[in-house]
Amino acid sequence: MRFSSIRQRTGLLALILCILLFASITLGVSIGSVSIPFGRVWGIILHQLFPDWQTFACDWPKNEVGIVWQLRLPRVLLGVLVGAGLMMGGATIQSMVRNSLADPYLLGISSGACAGAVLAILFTGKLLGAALGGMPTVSLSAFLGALLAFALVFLIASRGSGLTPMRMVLSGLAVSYIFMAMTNFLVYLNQRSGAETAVFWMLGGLGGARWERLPIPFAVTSLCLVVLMLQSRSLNALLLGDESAAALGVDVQRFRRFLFVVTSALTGVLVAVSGSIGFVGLVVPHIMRMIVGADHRRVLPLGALLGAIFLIWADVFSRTVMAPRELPLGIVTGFIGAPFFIWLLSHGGHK
Amino acid sequence: MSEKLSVAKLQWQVAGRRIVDGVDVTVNPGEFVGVIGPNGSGKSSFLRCVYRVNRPDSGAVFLDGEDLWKMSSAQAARRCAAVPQEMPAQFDFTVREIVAMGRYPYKKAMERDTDDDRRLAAQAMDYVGLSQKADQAFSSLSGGEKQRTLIARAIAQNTGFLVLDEPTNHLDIYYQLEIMDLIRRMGTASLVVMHDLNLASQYCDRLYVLYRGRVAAAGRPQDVITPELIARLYHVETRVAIRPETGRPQIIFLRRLIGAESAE
Repeated sequence: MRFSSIRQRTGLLALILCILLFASITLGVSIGSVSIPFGRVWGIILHQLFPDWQTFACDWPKNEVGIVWQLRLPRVLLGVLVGAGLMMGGATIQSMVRNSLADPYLLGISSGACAGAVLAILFTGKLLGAALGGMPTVSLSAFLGALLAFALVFLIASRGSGLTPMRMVLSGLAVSYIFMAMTNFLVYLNQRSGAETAVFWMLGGLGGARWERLPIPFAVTSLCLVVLMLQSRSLNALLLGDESAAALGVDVQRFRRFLFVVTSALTGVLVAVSGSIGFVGLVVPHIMRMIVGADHRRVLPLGALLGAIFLIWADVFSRTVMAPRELPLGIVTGFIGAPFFIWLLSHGGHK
Repeated sequence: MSEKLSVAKLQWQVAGRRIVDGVDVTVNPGEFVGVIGPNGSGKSSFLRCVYRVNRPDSGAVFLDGEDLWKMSSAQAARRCAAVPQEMPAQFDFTVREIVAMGRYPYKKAMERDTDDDRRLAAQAMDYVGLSQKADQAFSSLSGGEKQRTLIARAIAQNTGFLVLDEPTNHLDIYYQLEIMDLIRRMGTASLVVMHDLNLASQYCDRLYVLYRGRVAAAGRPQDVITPELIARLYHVETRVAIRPETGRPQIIFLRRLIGAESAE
C-alpha cells in the first residue's frame, strides 16, 4: 500500500544520505591545501585505528598522517556532530514554539555563549593566538554563558501562565539583547582582542577541532538524537497545537520544559565548541520537511544526516575559498544557505 | 452510575476570577448534548476542563464513573477525544498523518504503527469522506475538509466520548449541516459547544446554557429555548416557534434590547 511505499522511500533516502555522508567525510579529509588521494585517506585512517593490521604498504609521507589524523579528520567529524546537532536542535525548537522560522539560537543560547567566551578571553588576559590553544577555558565559559542565558529565559518565560510559544520567543529575544549588549560593550572597551574573539563566536568555525574535544559533543549529540527520536510522536502532536496535543494525552507544559532543557544543553555544547553557526538549524529542517513531510520520525534521523553533510561541505568551502585564510563558517552557511533557501521557497515548496 | 459523563460542581479560576463557577453537567450514553451561552459565559473554558487543558480548582469530571483528572494523560486520552477550535498551521502534515495521530495515546515511544492503527485511521477517514484526500497536505484542504480531518482524528482515537468546541465555526451552512450530521450519525456520546442557537436547537438532545460561569438553564431545546431566556442572557428580542419539519424550536431574531445589558 501507500504506507509501505513511504517507508521504502524513507529507507532509500536514508541509504543515499549514508552513502553521501561517507563520501563527504572522505572528500572532506581529502580536500585542502595539500590534497590527499581517497585511497590514502582511508589507508591512513585504518592504519591509525588498527596499527597491527599489515595489509597496508604504509608508503605515505609522514606529514600526511598528521594532516589526515590530527587536523582534518577531527575537524570533519566535529562538522558531522555540529551539523547533525544543530539540525535536531532547530527542528525541535521549531516544534516547541510551533514556528518554522525558529532556529536553535532563538532562545538566547548563542548570545549567552558569545558573551561568556568574550568575557573569558578578556579577563583571563589571553589574546586570540593563545586562545586557540586555550580553548577549553573559553569553551567552558561559553557553555556557562549559554547555561546562564537558558536559565534566565526559562525563569522569565515560565512565570505566570507558563511556557507558551509566544512567551518563550519574547523572553529569548529579551535575553539575547542583554547578552549582545554585554558582548558589544566588552568588545567596545577592548577593541583589538575582543573584536576578533567575538567575531569567531558570532560566526562560528570548526578550527578548534581536536580529538580530545570530540567526546563531549559526541556524547551529547548522540544522546539528544536518541532522546528526541523517542519523542517524535509527541513532537508531531505538539505541532497540532497545545490544546490538541493535550487532548491526545501529551502533558504539554512538562514536555515543553523537557524539550527546552534538551535543546539548550545540545545548543550550548555545540556553540561552546564551534561558535554559533547560523542557518543550518533553520534551513536543514525545512529542506527535510519538503522532501519527507513533517513527521519527526523521518525528519530527525534523515535531517541529522543531511545536516552533517551540509556542514562538512560548508567547512571545506570555508577552508579552501580564501586559502590560506579561513572564512568563518557562519558567513559560508549564510551565503550558501540563504540563496538555496530562497530557491526552495520559490520552486520545490509544494509536493 | 449510568451517565457517560458527569461533571460535578466544577470550578476553574484565573487570577482569582471564577470563569467556571460550579457547573454540573451530565451526558448519557449516545446522547448529543450542546453547551450554549453568550460570549464570555465560560463555555470554552468549561470544555477545556473536560479535555484536560484547564485543571479544575474544585469539583470533578467523571467519565464512566471515574475521575478524568486522576488518570494519566494517556489514559484520559483513550477515554475522551476532543476537537478544539485551533487549526494546525504552517507545518504540512498529510490528512492521513493527522488522522493517524489519533492513535497517539495508544503508542509507546518507538512503537511502529500497526495494521490496527492504519485500519482505524482509514476507517475514520472513510467515515468523514476523506479517503480520496488521504495523502494531500492538510493545508491544501477547504475549511470543511479540515474540520472533518480533525473529527476523523478524534474518531481514530477510538474513545467512547467526544468533545467538540464550535465545530461549525467559519463554515458555510452546507458544511455546518454536514459536520453536525456526521457527529450525530456516529451515535457516540458527545458534548459540543455551539454558537448558533438554531443549529444547537435542531441537533442537540439536550442543552446547557451557561451564563457567567454558571448553568442558567438546562433541558431539551423546546424547554430551554424561550424568548425570555434569550432576552435575559443575550439581550435580544426574539420570536420562537416550533418548526413542524424538525419538531424543534426555531428562533427569529428581531432586535437588540438596548440598555438591557447595563441593567444586568
